Amino acid sequence: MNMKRAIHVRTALAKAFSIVAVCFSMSILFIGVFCAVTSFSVEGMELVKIWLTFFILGGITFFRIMIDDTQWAKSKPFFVKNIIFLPLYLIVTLIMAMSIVGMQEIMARPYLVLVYAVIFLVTFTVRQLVGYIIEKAKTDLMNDALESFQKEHSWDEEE
Amino acid sequence: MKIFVKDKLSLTETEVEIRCRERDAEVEGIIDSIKSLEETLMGEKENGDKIPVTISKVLYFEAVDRNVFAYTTSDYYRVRRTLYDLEDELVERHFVRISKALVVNLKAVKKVSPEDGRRLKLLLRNGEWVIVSRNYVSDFKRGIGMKEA
Repeated sequence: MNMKRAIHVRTALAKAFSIVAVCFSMSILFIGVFCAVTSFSVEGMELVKIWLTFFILGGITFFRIMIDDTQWAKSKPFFVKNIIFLPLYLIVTLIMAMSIVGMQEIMARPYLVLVYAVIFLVTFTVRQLVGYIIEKAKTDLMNDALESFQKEHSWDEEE
Repeated sequence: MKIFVKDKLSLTETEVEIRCRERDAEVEGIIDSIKSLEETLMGEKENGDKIPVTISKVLYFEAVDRNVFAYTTSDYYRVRRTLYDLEDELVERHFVRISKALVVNLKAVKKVSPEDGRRLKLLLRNGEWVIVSRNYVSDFKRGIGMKEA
């Protein structure tokens, strides 16, 4: 169904754009407040880098929304997609953040960035797994109710 | 058997009257055929062929742009109805709206699984997964008898 696919692409583009636009606005606000408080100055090139970061993040978000719509993604537990995509977001953000803040300071202690990234990823994964287990318990109750419903109203292909 | 068709502009709904000497097998057959029309929707295939679709065989209805499609285990058809109409008409047949664009046949749901953002996903008889939006989760639960209406 080409029409259906075209509509999904259009919807995914609009959704990715709106998500990234909100995040971009929030980040600019945060950077503005940070600069005002610390008197840290942001140069023009750095603003371009920030914009580029969000452009790439927008691309990843679009790709993610398109993947979410496939039967493959729908057949997998939701944490699988999150665990696949989060490192991508993290890598792009870290690379851009490092290039904006200044590589020299970070390169002096590169292991720190790695340690923080790993801690973040592990915490995120555990949080996702716990969340999934809690939600799964709720849907198990729904499956019981569905089973009772199916006994009363069975699906008959030959009906 | 004689068939008479009379046009009457004053009628709001088509009426069928059967005149017979006795209610035999032939008459029962005619009644069953007419009743079965109520069990179907007129569907349109991609090539424009019009085919009656048995409602009980429909897994779900989906609105795509301004069109509504009915999906069965083996095929899909365009139906010239709105999702709102179908939702209202088919509620007795256990069809429930699960998102802005989908009305699902609860009898066709095999399994429920959790999805991100307090949503649900449903595995249907044809192995396809559909998403229940957060706003429609309570409607779905009510539909399968988990919540009182």
